Amino acid sequence: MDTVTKRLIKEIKNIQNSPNEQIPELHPISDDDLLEWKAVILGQEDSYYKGGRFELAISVPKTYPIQPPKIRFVTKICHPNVHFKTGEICLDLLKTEWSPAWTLQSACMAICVLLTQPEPSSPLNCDAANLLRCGDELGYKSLIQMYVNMYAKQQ
Amino acid sequence: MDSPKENDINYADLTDENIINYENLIKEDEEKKPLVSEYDVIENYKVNYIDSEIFSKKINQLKNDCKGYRSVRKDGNCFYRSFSYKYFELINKNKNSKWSQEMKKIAKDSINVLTSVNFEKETIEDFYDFFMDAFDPQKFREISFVDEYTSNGIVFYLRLICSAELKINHEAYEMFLEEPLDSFISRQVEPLGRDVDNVQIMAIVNALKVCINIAYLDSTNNNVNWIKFGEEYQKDANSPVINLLFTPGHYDMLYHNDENV
Repeated sequence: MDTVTKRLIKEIKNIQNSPNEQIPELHPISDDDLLEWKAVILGQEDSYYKGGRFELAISVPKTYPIQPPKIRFVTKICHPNVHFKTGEICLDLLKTEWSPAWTLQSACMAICVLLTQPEPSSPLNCDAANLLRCGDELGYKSLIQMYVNMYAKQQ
Repeated sequence: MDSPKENDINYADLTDENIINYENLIKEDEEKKPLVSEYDVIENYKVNYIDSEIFSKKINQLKNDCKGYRSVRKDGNCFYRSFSYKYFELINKNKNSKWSQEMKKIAKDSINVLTSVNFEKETIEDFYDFFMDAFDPQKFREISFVDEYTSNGIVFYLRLICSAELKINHEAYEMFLEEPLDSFISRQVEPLGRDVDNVQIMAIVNALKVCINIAYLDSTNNNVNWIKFGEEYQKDANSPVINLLFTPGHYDMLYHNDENV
């Protein structure tokens, strides 16, 4: 068995043993291909993303966990560090600060934290970042919640 | 397209895009090189960015102490890779010596040290296995520094050893840091591709109880400067020392005149 498969099987067991309630889904899309995963994260109760359910697509490289997984939002989301069209995420941990001690679960948890703690200084969505940088908290909140209601409402 | 030669670069027209392209070309060139080069005599050592007259003078000085070198890939892991190659090479050369046995014992116990600072065993044990496999001379020669994934795994495990030492004995290191320890570790120690400062070198020396001797070769007119880390771990004149060469921005390995190659 190659190293990435071995590692991912361990991660699957860990996720089953200690699931995270903010990440109701985190698993390979099919049993035949362990390198493509689906995740769902929930907007935290005390954040503007409350009530939102966001799907992530995770693509695991063969060199994982030496190289980081590629994670993007599938559900449309308005966030200063997420590209509105492609769902690309700007998070140092997924790029330059990745370390093989992270797991797919801890990376998803870091994305949950990013939802409540945006970094407007390195934006991928300038409209959202500008509202935040100008201090227009009400405008920022309204924009986010409008998109949560349009695309991410939990059934 | 080949990476640009010094003469081809038009310094008057260096746009951001050009700089990024040049950087990528240099990176691609570098990735074609082996992780660790063959042994070569010190006369053949090449270095960029240093005035050649000063440089040849210093290589001549180095010749008094050292006969050869090995280069490692310039990818931000050069210190970790040089150090670990030389470390395993010295241990495997004389497997049954007291020193080698001691080194192996410390390495074997490292997984317990790491789990004591909350690294999860499941996520790190593959890398621990890569590290321990390098104590087998055959695996060391054929896999540990040949297969990129394995070699990077060893580099990463060494980064974790460094991280754990920084956490456990933080009061010895914190005064040298310009940012909180946690953020230093997550930004500068654990990710691959981040080069070292003296703090990381000290931590590795203390964690593995080894002595490292580094020759600093820069563009100043001074003589080659040697700095020893962990002299207290060099129990007697015969204890192996890991000799490294620092040129601006990069570490390689050195072989002392009295070392068997």
